Amino acid sequence: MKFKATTLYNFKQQGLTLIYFMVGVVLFTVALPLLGIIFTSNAQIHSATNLVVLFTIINFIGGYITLAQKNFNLFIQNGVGRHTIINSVLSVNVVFALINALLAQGIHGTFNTKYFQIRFMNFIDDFYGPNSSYGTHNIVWRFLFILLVLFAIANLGSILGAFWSRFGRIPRIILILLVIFTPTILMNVYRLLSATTQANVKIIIAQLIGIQAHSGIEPLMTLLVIGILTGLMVYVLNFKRELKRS
Amino acid sequence: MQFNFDSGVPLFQQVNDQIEEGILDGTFPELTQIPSTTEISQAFKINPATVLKGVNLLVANGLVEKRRGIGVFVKQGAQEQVRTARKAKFLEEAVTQIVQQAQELNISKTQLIKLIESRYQA
Amino acid sequence: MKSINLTFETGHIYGLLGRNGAGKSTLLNLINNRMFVSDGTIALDGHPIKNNEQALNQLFMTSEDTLYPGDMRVKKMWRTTQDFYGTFDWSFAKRLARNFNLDPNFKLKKLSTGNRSIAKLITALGAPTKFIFLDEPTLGMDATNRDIFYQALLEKFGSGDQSLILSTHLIQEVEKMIDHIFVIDHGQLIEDQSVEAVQSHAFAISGSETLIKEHIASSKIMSVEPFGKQYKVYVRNYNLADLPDSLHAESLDLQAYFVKLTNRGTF
Repeated sequence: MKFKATTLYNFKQQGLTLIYFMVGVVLFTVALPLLGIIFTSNAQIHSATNLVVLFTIINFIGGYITLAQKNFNLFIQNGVGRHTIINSVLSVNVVFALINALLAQGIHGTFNTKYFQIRFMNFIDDFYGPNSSYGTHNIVWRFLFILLVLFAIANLGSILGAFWSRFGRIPRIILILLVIFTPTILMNVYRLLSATTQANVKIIIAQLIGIQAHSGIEPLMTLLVIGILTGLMVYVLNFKRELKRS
Repeated sequence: MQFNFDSGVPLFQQVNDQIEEGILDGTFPELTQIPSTTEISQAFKINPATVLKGVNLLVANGLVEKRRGIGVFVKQGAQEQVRTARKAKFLEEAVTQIVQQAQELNISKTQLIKLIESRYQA
Repeated sequence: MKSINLTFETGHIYGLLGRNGAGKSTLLNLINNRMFVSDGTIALDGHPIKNNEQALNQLFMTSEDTLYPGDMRVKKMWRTTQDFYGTFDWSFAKRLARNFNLDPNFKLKKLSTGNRSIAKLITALGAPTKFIFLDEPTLGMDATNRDIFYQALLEKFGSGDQSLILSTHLIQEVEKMIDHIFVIDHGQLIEDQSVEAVQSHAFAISGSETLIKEHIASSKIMSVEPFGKQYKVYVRNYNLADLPDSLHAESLDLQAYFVKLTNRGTF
């Protein structure tokens, strides 16, 4: 009963997050360009959206919400045990990774019409090229890859949700600023490097996360381990989590 | 009815006394129903178990009887019984006290009787 | 919080009393699996309650902190309780909401402090659990609403298979309703008795200093008030039968008793 109620509650919230995002996506990639077409008559519109990146964000936010203080408080108020909260969150993360991976796989390719094209890209192609083990032709591997990425990301979101309440106001601001500026700073440093160093950095990063050119099953294994480790962290962070008194 | 928490009399005893008072002055006539435990409890914000204890004391003393599924009723002859009991109590306590105090204040027996008679006439 | 040992049974209205910061809320949070004890156990019918959902399903607590999201409607709080606890007393909740004049379609964050207290209160009273813990439930509620609350409480807990644990500072308002008190002071349990037992053994005794010192054991004295040549001592666990005629005893109400018991300050 507690598990069912907890899971349903989480499921509804994640579903809403997904819907809000999809409405936003449709608005920005289809409706607004369409308006442009209407007003400028015969102009052509090109729009490109990276689906995996989009669903990564959705799953991260969904994972965050399920274990944020607001949800945790409600579950504790209703006599839910820590293990049930954890099991429910992990199950919901798996299910939504599955749903979103299917969506990412399903809405793939290019909507090509006379007046506008919408390309739904997949960052995997950027890394591996369409002919790799995770290319467009290997549907199963590709799907598993996306699934594991989304699951690990959702778990990371849950970890942040559990952590966030422990930070005070100032650490929170510092963290947000760090998240916003670190990529910019890193990208600028990266651009200053010579072309060969850039290529080397790319290889090192790719190998760090288990990506190799024409790679086989190794990246999947790496992602699986990351998924399990983040899942374990969700467990550790919440099993002794206490109510924060305000 | 009124209940005093700091009067030194246990609350359940006060419940008993107040209902007795009601029987004596005719608020609760014989063979009629007295308010239920819940009613008394809610009206005076008293713990229901305490009220029940007070009512049970009345049952034990034979002043009221419980009729299953209906409620608590004042028994025939209860008013007379309360009056007799109070009379005995009055003689026992109040008169003893008056005499005792009169003796302490050196009031003689004739003086005291005269005083009582004058109050009766007034 | 130090070592505390206490037991709740069904069919009671307990008063959990203590001064600000004495540890009442901490104790309630520990009992309700919101915080964890570093040592010892909390058990329901012998089974530890820690993350034990069968046991947790018999406990419901509302605290000063609102643990419901602000955008939740009052009705949804009831629905949620039903989802998580299996059942909910809808007719009682609806009747109470009418009595309190509270619209269940309102969102929690739109309610005043008093009405938010009422919303949480109704939710707790509608919950199907054996034990209901209310920590400062009347926060911000006006006198009329408190009166409605007390009436509802006596209706709900008169039947005997549920118990209420009420933590409050408004002792005078609840002293006739609670049947047993626990007093927490500096993280310790310093009183655990039926109200009747406390009441019949707590007195203010006055008389001359010498007589009092001669007749009253210092272990029973909570507080001393010198008044000229007269002395007034507040005692607990005292048998009135032991009182010599030369001393005068007055009963204490629960609030006076509590103040004398927990006020260690001297002037």
